[in-house]
Amino acid sequence: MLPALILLIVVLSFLTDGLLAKSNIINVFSQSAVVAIAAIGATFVILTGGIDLSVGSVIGASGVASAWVMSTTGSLALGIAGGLFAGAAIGALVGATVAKLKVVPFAVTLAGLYVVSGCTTLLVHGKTIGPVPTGFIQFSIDGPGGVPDSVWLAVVLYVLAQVALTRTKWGRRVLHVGANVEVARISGIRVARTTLSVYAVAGLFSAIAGVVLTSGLAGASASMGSPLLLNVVGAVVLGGTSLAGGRGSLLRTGIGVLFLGFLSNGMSLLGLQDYDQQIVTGAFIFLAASADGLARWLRRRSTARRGPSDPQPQAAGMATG
Amino acid sequence: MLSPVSAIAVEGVSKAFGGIVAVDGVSFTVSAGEVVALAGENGAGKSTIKNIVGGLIRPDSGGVRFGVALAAEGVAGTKHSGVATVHQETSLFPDLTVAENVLLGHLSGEPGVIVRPRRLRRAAAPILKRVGAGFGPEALVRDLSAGQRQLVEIAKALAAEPRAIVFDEPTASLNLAERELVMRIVEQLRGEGVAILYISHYMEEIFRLSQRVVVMRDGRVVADQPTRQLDRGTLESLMVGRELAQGHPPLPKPQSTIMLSVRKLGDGGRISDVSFDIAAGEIFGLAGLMGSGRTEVARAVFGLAGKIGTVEMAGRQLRRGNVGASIAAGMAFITEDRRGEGLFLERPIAESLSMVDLDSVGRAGWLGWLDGGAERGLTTRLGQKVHLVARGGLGAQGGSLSGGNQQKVVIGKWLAREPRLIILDEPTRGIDVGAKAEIHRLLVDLARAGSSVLLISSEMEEVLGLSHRVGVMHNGHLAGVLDRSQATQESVIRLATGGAR
Repeated sequence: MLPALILLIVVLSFLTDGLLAKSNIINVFSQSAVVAIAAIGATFVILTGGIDLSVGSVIGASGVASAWVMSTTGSLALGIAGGLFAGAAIGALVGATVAKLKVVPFAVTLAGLYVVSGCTTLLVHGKTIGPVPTGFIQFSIDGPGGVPDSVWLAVVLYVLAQVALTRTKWGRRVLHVGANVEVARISGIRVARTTLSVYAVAGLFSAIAGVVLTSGLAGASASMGSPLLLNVVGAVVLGGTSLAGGRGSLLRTGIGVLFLGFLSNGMSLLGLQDYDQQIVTGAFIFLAASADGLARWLRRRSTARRGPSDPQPQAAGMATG
Repeated sequence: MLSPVSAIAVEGVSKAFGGIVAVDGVSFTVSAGEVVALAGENGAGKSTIKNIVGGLIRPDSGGVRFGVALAAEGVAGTKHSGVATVHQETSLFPDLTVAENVLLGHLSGEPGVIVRPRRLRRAAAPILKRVGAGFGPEALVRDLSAGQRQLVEIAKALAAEPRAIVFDEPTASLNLAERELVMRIVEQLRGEGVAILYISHYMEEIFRLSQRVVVMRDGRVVADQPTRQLDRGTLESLMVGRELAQGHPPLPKPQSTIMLSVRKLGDGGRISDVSFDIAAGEIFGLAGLMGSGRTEVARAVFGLAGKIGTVEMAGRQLRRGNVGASIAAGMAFITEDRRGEGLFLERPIAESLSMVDLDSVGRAGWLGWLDGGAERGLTTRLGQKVHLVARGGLGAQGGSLSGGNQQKVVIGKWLAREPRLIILDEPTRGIDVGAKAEIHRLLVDLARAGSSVLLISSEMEEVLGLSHRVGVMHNGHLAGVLDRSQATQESVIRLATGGAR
């Protein structure tokens, strides 16, 4: 996926003016920060073979929670804590339903999407919550080296999450539950506990994304995260993490996020309309998702023309007839 | 040169997968009305030959001729050339009827696009009769036993009216009666002039059924001889490439302390009221027919199912239905379904090896930092302990290993914790003689070191040869426990089929 990202940037830099200007690159990164952070949690969930459709709603709910605490108490720290707690709690509840009641994640998180979003809207009467402290808004605008703090935060979280995935027992358990849940269970991995923790962690990352988005928008509304769901899942899939679970990494997701970020930015610089952008984005996700299958198909066709030199072993189950 | 009666002629076939040579210049023929056994250890290249003959993969060079014409490529091509394959693991659709499964490859011959169930049933009935099936064409495959499914698999192959059939371990998951039935069908087909290539690890089947044995080793044919010129020992050493020690290693004497004590164990379904003890250093065999509840007992003891009755390890009662508690008490469980439950096929071999004892190479705590060096040390040590042969190293995917080596990984991962009770469910099913002997030796060594072993096997010789005592299951109950001196093939079968002891 990294070569594809580099190719995209090279092509776009020839087609547009100013794609590689420092201000524009910072712009791409800061616009990607929220999706990037939420995609960390989504990657963990997808690695276990699950899916979290409630990302956008949790972003809204935790953003609203943090903005509400900030505006009523005037305390930045309490506000952030409130937002993170709300997200992690919702995630843990979703995780408990998936892990203990063994309901399929798609159904649980689809329900979560509606219920969480509806409750948040109800609580705030559909209004935007604010104001938030100026220092908090600065978080998404400026930071060391002219790069916003939110971007630095995302980078640090990616490094930490990748290390947690590859270098800790918890990360290994997440991968193993996704790779083959029966092997994991028989080998003594507490599958339910691992699954629950993954959804709670995903809720926490959605909450961090919600708080960062609140800072960027200088306030929070229930629906502010809703459009982000598809970008979050799209970035994970583009990165090449398997929806079947057990295979993938955060580095891949990071590249997927940047790919979407540069693509969208480049298309805006080219003056493409929204619907044009949708078509192009969809085409790229399609390509990424079917890359393996396409490569296999092309190889098979070329060998069919050249003769029997590189045959394709097929599943034994297709053998008899 | 193809003789006029040859139905299958494999001619100089070579095939490499990603640089690793699987078969190299293999040639042999199978004549009409002849059973040729293809023998060899796992990884010798038998599966590759089977897949090439069956049309699933194309050779890099050489070819396969059927009758007189070179086979068209691909599965559909081999069907028209009159070759069918009966697979080891059945490839049936559980939610379709027997008739639909049997005639699946021939639905295109139906006029129009509509499949008529009644016509299918009528067409399938004579084929089922031919394989001696005791069930009708309207039965759902889901409701059939493993043995019955194998009969459906054979019926499916016969539906094409093939002139040649490749059997790949057709009896691996069958009980004695079902195995007998399959062998009779093979003999009958041979009598009808069908050419048969028969792949099996069971020596009795090779010697009973085949007229000729083709032995493969390291991708080459090392022997192609009439069966009557061979004896078992010669054949085994041809397969392994060295002399094998005959028989089982001598059993060490068990200790007097009880390690495992099972009382009134049940799972609320298939098994009930099962009670037995295993001493430290004792190998306890569990025999019985397919479906008699052996696997269920093993799973219930380990805590994977059932909460009825008590299980004690070294005098301490275990929390039931809790795998973690069982492992902490020193149990290890080697599943009969190694590909589905034993190891990760699509993750590095090393991860499957270290997963049971990850605590020893990671810090305590929820996240638990892993020590990469210590993990490499652990996995290397475990790999050596079970004589793992991983050509691609421990970083390669589990699925790249041969069956025998996959099984070594499944056993090896438990050795990290030096278990006090090892439960093995069909540990040598579908495994070559070399790996099998190594696993047997490993079990005896573990018993000598004081571990208890609960051994489930459908192979009578394995249970009788390795066990201090044999428990026999019948219909979900423990029908009796036989001492080594009493346990014979006859006494075990009598108990297993519901007779008195």
